Amino acid sequence: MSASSGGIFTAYALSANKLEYIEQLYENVDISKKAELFYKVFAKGLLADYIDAVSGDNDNLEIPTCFTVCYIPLYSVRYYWINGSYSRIWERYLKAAVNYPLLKFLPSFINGRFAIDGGAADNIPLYPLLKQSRPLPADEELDLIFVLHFDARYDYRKDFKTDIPIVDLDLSICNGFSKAHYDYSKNTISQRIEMSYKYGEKIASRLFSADHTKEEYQQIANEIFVEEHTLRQQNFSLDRLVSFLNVAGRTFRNDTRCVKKLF
Amino acid sequence: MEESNVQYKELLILNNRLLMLENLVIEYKNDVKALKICSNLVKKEAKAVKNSKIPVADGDLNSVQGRYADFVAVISGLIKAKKVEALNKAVADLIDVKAMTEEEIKALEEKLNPAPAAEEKPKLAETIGNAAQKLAKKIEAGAQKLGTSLSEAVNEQVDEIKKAFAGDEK
Repeated sequence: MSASSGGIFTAYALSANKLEYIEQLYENVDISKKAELFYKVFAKGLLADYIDAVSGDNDNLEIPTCFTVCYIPLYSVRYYWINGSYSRIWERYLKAAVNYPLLKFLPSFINGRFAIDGGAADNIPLYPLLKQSRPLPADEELDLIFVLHFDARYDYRKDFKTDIPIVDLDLSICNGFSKAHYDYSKNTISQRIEMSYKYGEKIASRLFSADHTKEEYQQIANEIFVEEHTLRQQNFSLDRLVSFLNVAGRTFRNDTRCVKKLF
Repeated sequence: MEESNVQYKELLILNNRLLMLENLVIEYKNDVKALKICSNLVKKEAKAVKNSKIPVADGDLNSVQGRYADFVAVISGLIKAKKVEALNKAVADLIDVKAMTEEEIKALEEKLNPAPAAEEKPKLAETIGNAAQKLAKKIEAGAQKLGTSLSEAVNEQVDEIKKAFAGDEK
């Protein structure tokens, strides 16, 4: 798995087999006003608290998980792989990885360098999955990649060429491109989770109802993309602006040493 | 023969105590505050072993003392580790130190009682493992076990741990 920003919480929970727990955490945020959310995140360090809440000594990450951190002022992106038993070293990196610029009172520093949310340099981190340095045995290949994001105009084909089938899903479709990005009220979160489950089931039934070859998977993925394309083109999401910023992240990315292991 | 058995039993007690501390440190390897408390405890314990007048041959006692010294160095490495490589190395060293203690215990058990020891081994290992887990989960349980320690100093330190951990939980 590979994730950035808030997606790290879900990726970590999935890998550590804590999905039900993270659902409860999301529901317990219960904040519906932007100002209150900003106050809790900026002044009270809500995101760092949630890293503490979701990660713990007894965690064992069964799925290798990657997350992004962006270093300032060089704007260089680093992809960090974590796997296996929990290590306290991760905490510092995870907290930096959700340290949204201007959304935390105290900045994060890693090895003396100012670090911010990796989403600023690569918000949809497909790169470490396609790069051969991923922590998989040499003979294991990826069968299928799901790219889950909120950028209606995103198309991985512009940046990557690969023969691995990629299912590109804009999750805004689940909630009808609702603009209530900052509504974390309990009801809204519950509804979103329920709708995303239904959407996930629908996609999974199309993909996994029978055994498929790589080419067939790619064909189904293309069909899903084409079906949702019109709806996606009619809508705009804030994540598009972040994706524009990511051009700089890709430009300054050092391919030889941007992927690191933390396990 | 009788004297040797007494020596072996004393050594076995010392090694079992060391193993319990090693299991405790493994349990808290990601908690720096707890590691600092464990480090103090291990240093006091090492001092108590050094000053004790147990009827054990000097060479054997030196071996235990040497492993205590290694253990203190490993805990120090764990506390100081800031990078993942350093932490991984410290954890590997800790596992090595624990393996050495386990080997020593195994050898002592065989010397003490060769035939029944083989049957008792799993039981003893299980007992030690359970004791360490209890100690880690609820330090009071460990404190009771450690209460039979060689010196008053260790008892005091256990009380300090209890207070410190109670403080952390709050």
